[in-house]
Amino acid sequence: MPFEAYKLYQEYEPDKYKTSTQKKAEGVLKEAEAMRHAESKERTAGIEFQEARELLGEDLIGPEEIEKTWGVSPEEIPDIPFSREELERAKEMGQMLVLRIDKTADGKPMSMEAMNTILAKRWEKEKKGGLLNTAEGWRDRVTGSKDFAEVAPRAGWVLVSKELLPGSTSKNYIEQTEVIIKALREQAFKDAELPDEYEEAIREFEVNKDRLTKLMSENWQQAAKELSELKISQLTRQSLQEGIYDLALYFDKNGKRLLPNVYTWSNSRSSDGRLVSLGDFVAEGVDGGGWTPDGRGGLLGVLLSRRL
Amino acid sequence: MMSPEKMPHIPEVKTTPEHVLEETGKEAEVSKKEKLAPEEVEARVTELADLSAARPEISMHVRETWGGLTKKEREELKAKGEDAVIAHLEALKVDPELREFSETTLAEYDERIKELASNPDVLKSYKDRFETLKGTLAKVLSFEHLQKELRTAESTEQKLRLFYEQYGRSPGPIERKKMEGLRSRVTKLKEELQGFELDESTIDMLRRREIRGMQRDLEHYSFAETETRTELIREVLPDLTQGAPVLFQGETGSGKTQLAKYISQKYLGKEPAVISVSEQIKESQILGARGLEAGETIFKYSEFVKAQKEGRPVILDEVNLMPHEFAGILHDLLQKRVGDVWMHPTTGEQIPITAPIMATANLKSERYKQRYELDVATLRRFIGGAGAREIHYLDIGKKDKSGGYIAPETLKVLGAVLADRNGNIEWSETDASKKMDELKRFVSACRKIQEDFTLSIREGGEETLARTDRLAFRELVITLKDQIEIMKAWKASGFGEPLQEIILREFFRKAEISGRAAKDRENMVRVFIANKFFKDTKPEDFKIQGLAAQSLRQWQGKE
Repeated sequence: MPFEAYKLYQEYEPDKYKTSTQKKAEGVLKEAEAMRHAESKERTAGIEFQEARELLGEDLIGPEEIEKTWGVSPEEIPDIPFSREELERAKEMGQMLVLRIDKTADGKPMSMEAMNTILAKRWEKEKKGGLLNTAEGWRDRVTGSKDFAEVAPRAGWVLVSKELLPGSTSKNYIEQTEVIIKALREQAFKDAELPDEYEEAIREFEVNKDRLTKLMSENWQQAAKELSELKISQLTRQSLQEGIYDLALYFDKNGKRLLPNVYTWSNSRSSDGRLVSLGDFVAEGVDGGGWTPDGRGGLLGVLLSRRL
Repeated sequence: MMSPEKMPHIPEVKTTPEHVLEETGKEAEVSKKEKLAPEEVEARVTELADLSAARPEISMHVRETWGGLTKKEREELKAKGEDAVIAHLEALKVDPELREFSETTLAEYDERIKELASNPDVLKSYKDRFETLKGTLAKVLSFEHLQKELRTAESTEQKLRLFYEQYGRSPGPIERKKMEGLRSRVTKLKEELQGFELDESTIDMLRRREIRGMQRDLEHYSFAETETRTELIREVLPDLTQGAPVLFQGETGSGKTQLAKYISQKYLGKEPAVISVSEQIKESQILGARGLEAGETIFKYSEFVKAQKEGRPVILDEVNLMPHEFAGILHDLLQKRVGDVWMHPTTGEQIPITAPIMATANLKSERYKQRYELDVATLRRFIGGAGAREIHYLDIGKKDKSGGYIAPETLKVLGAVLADRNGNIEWSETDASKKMDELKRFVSACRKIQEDFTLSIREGGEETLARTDRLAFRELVITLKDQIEIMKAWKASGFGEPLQEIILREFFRKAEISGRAAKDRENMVRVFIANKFFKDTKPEDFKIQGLAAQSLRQWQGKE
């Protein structure tokens, strides 16, 4: 039985020819999808959501955008945990409101691999460039295969800065955390009380700051681990996957690449224990790499990303 | 569902076994009906189908070894006597051994076909299968016809839009109605194609015909039209047919000149004049020069002008090397369109323009950019024409789900090279997955080399490359043409030799180059090793000057 030559490349042309049965099956699926979409829209038609949409306009990335970008119609959409005042403040601070999901349409983790897979073909077709610069570079040099394929963003609504916090560049990880705390106190919660979770997280940071500063020069791996696990890092910094997720959605919706020539420092660690930066989002995709926590870079700052 | 009356008519033709039986009929006797079990009939029909499918190829070889003579012509020649045959064959300089091999092989084919087809049950069953195939073919032809009609309608629409754009006026009521009609035709055709009912066997045939089409293009034009190239051709063609110029810029070996030739031959139906531009090009090579003919002084036009006069496209290869002193002539010509007249600056002859100028330029590294970059005025004239288009290696930038390099278009071209006329590659079922893996690793290595070469050209500095996992390639790259040559050699070996042996023989050992190119070749070895080739190859086998045994062992993971 000879080998059909077209089998060499057939897998890359799944849509070129379709049998009638395939077409019918697709029609049925499309119909089901439309019904789900209509139901999902109904669920999000609450006043708060509409208000938020009117207030933030292109800076609200919600279920519709998720469906368009990731092809996922979330079954349950959580209520937006922020008040109108907080959203107005966020708008002044140049933040966007993003709904993050952690699963793909087929129930797999919304990992970097999954995000890249979902977008690669369409973006190429629409001449939008790539998502990861490069996927294999991220996988082999930063995350390792397991994290690349398995770690997903944390689900829920978040407020994320679209630009680096002023004064956050050329600072090490601890100095950056101080910038974050200042932004929380003086901007995000100006004239309001900091929620308990933040107070607690700041206390934890203050108590450990000197020790961690010393540890950075003695054992950077351990320092990186502890810094990444600090409550304040978990509450106010994006993970690597969240960063990629947010950049992709915002670009797909608005056609603007955030962090075009700068980097934000995430709370994720690379496979060799460094704290991961991401950014320089250009046509080739999002770039980045690992830094030891005592590093400082002129282009390396931080975005404020808060979940509470 | 397409109604039967709309299906194209497939003429009644004899099947290969019938044809063979008829040719040898005088001697052939249909055997007494041998009783065969149904599975035996099926097995013989399959064998007959395989033989019938392979026969045209060997028949063509025989014809080639006779200098294109058909069977009838060969018999006529033989009838003239042995001397005539010897004279004919000597003139052709064909190896007699090869000719004899082809002839005896064809005879063996015919013998076996005859043997199988002489059983009436087998022949009937084969003819039934052939009839089914004809039904599928009719469907395929209908589908292809719709596709062709859609392309034509779209291209006409595009051409008309361009026409109005060029003259800066809007269409009147009648023209608007016509254009509206064209648009609805496009919509209708798209709907028809979408609703066309395809089954597995029709899709199988469509894909095989695609491979065959590519094989024909490779044979006739040394060019394979893949999707991205088709898209580009469709974009530039309407302008080219109006005589507007186009510039193809790209890395060395990306197929710019071949593409220009292909467009000229296949789409414009004209043999182009290819002018290789260099810094030393003379005015006589562009305009022509005075010379003597039969004692008289005449002005002999250059190939360039002759082509213009004959309405043939001109391809200016490496136009970026054109000395500035000729910019005036070039600019003047680049602004002309079909219907304009160009006056020859020396003879004053009025030459009507009927064909476009196509040009190519190599994308140079930063180091040479200043020196070889096209001046803005020239570039602008191309942009005002069919455009200054970039041609890169096939599949550059394409990645799979996990971010790994993929090369679907390259695989399609190489598949066409590896396949026979029926779209099959002679890989046994047991070998197929191993061979496919070998091929994909090979293509992946070539892609990596092309990606890194492209990056080296664009970004130049080694300091940029050093920060990444990329390797610097300064001068050498594996082009699609190189890959095709390697595939041809692999196929010719009957896939008996491991692919890495072919790569060594057809690529590494063919050119021993010192200097920077040697470094490029070393880097290529690294890429191939990373793609699981050359795990135990010795340094001397690569014929690379200065390749250190220790480095090689390190790359091979032995140190």
